[in-house]
Amino acid sequence: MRNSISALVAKDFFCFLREPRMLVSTLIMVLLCPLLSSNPFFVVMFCVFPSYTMTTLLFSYEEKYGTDRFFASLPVSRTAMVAARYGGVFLAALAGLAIACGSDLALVALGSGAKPFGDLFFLSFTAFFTVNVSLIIPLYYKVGIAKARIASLVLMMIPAMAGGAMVGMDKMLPGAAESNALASAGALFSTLRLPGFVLPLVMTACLAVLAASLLVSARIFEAKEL
Amino acid sequence: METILRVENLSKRFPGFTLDGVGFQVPRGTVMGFIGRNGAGKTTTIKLIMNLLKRDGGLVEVFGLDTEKHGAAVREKIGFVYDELFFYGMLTGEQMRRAVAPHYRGWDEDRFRRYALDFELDLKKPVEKLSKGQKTKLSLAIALSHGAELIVMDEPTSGLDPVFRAELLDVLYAVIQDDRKSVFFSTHITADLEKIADYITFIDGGRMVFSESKDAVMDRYRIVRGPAGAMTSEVRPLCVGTRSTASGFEALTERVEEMAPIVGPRAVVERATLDDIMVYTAGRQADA
Repeated sequence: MRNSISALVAKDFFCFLREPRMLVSTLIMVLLCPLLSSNPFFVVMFCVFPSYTMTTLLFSYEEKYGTDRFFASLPVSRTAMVAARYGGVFLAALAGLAIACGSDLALVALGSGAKPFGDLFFLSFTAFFTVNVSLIIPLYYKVGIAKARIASLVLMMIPAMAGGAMVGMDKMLPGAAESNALASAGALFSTLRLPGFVLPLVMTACLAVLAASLLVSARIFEAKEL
Repeated sequence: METILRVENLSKRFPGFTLDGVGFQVPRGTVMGFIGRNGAGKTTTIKLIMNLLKRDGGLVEVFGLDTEKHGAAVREKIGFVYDELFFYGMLTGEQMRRAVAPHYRGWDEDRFRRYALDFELDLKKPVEKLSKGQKTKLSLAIALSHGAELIVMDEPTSGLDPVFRAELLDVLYAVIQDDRKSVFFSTHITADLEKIADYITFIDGGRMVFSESKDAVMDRYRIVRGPAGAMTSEVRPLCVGTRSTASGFEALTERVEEMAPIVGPRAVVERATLDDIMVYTAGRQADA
């Protein structure tokens, strides 16, 4: 089972890396990162971006090439296939997170005036990533690529961009926080400090949501006729 | 003889098509040809065997294991070749091997390399750049490299030239030489089966027509040709199917001993091919 899941995840990454659009998009985000890294929500978007793209690409490929039929004819359970998909998307998000944190640390070390990421960033990332993935992957299995792609755009990318704009407004337009309620709320949110127990609590809740989502996806895929 | 694949009273309903009462057995060390025209239910039956579709009724056992309850264990012992290669077009054959091999406990890397060499496969080429024949060979190399005891193939020769089809039959012939492996081979190119099959299962319109040894089938059916006037009301019930020709009629019959004397000395009797049997029998099923 473990070998099967690793092979499926590796296969997903082969596909992901063969996709030129993905590499160009990532490059753009990496170039933008130093400019945006003091803004937690933009960085969250950057972290989520690879997993969003990976999810969309992999399900598109599955539809285009019929690969789910191929893998379902191998001695691998459908639950393992679904678990591998979650694993791959999770690893893609972690890669984004690592790059974001790395670039942030580099900026701090270079004395750019940026502050190192705090608990708000990790909280935002964890909640945003898990809730979205938990909603979107079952949707891909249930309603197919066309509808799920729209849903993922609405649920994942638009909130990330809107959140980033709100939190970053005060940085982009100095003084906006004093005259605009949204910018004010955004500025407050980006400097908020949370009690120590909140982060592990939210992370545990998010993992529970993710596990429930995996079970739902596995159930949908088990019942699917290929 | 040990039964490797047992299908009993298999049924599956779709809007506009029903597969019903399909049943057959594949003994170890034999080749079963699975024939029927397009849309007869061959692919549906194979998908039910592979558990890609959920059956509405009946039983499918491979090596005595129910495929619904023991899906992964059963698929470990099956080498499956689709009519096309459902794999990521931009990945290479080598990447495909790396994605597939870890799923099989019995994967034999040396054997895969040997087949790749024999089939002249370029494993560095993206799958979408391979010809149809090369894709089938790649599928076959994978299907034969993990110690499968049952090879299931869904129309592997459709759209391929006679030379490739002959090569494929040679490979399958070599596969069954150890008397351990069986092949279940769906096709509508029946000439391939006349060369290699031990048993024939014929379905039409989602229903069984027959499942028996090829020799018994070939011995039973005859094509009779005669003048138009000889197709009398006495002759017609003896025919499985008939058609008019420029010189009279042509008919498929299972009762040649009764029919030939009635048609008279101008009757020409020949062995029927599987194509003849399929064409005339499918016509009768449609009429029924």
